[in-house]
Amino acid sequence: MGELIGQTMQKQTSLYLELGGPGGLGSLNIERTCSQRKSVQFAYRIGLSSFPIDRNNGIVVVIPVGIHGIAGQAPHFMDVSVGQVISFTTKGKFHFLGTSAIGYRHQKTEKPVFFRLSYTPLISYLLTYQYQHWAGLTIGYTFLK
Amino acid sequence: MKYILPCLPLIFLTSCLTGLIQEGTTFLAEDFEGYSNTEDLFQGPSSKWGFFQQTESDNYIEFDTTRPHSGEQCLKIFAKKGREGFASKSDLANTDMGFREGDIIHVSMWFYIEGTKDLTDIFLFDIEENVQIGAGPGLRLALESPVGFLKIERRKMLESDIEPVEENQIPFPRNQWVHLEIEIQLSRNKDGYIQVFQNDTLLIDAQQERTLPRDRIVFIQGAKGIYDNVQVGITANSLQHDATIYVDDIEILQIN
Repeated sequence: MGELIGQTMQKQTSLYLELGGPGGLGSLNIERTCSQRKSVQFAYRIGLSSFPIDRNNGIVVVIPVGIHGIAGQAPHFMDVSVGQVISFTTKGKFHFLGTSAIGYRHQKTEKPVFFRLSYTPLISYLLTYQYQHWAGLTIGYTFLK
Repeated sequence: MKYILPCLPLIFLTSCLTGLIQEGTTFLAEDFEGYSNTEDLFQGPSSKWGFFQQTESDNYIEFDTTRPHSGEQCLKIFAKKGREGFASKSDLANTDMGFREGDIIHVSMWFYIEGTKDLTDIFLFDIEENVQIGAGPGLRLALESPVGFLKIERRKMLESDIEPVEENQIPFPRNQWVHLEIEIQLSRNKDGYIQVFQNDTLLIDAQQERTLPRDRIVFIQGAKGIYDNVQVGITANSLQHDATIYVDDIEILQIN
């Protein structure tokens, strides 16, 4: 993630581990920058997390997906996102949660490693509306070209 | 149209899941009279139970006419001891209940436990919500310690257990009928209450408690705020030994 203002976007791929966040206790994610509008760079992410429930309910697979808007000047960025958390079990049950996030992202121009601290509430909306506070801490690696 | 089409799968999923919300009943009474065999418990339009939950082939239920609490017969329930990681269950289940936020539920049951064996971790009554993601979160009445004082277990709804204060940790009487009553005001926030009585003595009086599950991060998802499932019997046996109990005169109802 370079300095965004006045630059044309360079598509980049990042791999990151997020503790907490929409994946639950943690998730492994891939992020890919996809477009740029004025000073905001957009990226999409898809993650993977999993945990067991019990013998009757099997294992849950959690897939957080989202669109991120990233703005600022290196090394300080604001990272805002909206997305969905898709969960399904090995016993055939599924559920969706909405998620949004706002956080601080620290990423130097020439360094591949970045950090992010985010407020990541989870929103149940399918059956009843429930809003849950949650947070995430990210350490990631950007594959620089 | 280009904005509507992507929404259709979500609308479809929402309608599928909303169909899972059932009206349910708020009254169940069972005295085990008038049955000739245990299959009758689950048959017919007036059946009060959905199924017999049996996790071990040796577990069974049968009617007993030697020591009913009232009437002519009660239900005898046997469960093998549990195995590590596998609870041994032998209970009656009704999955058509419908207790909601704000309801006050009163549960009255009579139990008879034979022998003097260790009663640690024998569960007698569960009230749960069937959720999309999660392990049937809810409240479970359990016996704790070898003498078997009563507690409310809430592990599946990711809440701490509720135990009686020390002077109320009294042994569960053996070889006699014991009247258990539970009164619960349902709340997904921490403003409900649970009271547990043993032979008319108030043992647990927990106020300002979460008594109904809510979604918890990704670990419980799809909680509707409705208890739709009750189980009575040996809803989980301990790992120590086999258990035999008798149950009679069950009544579960909304009182507000």
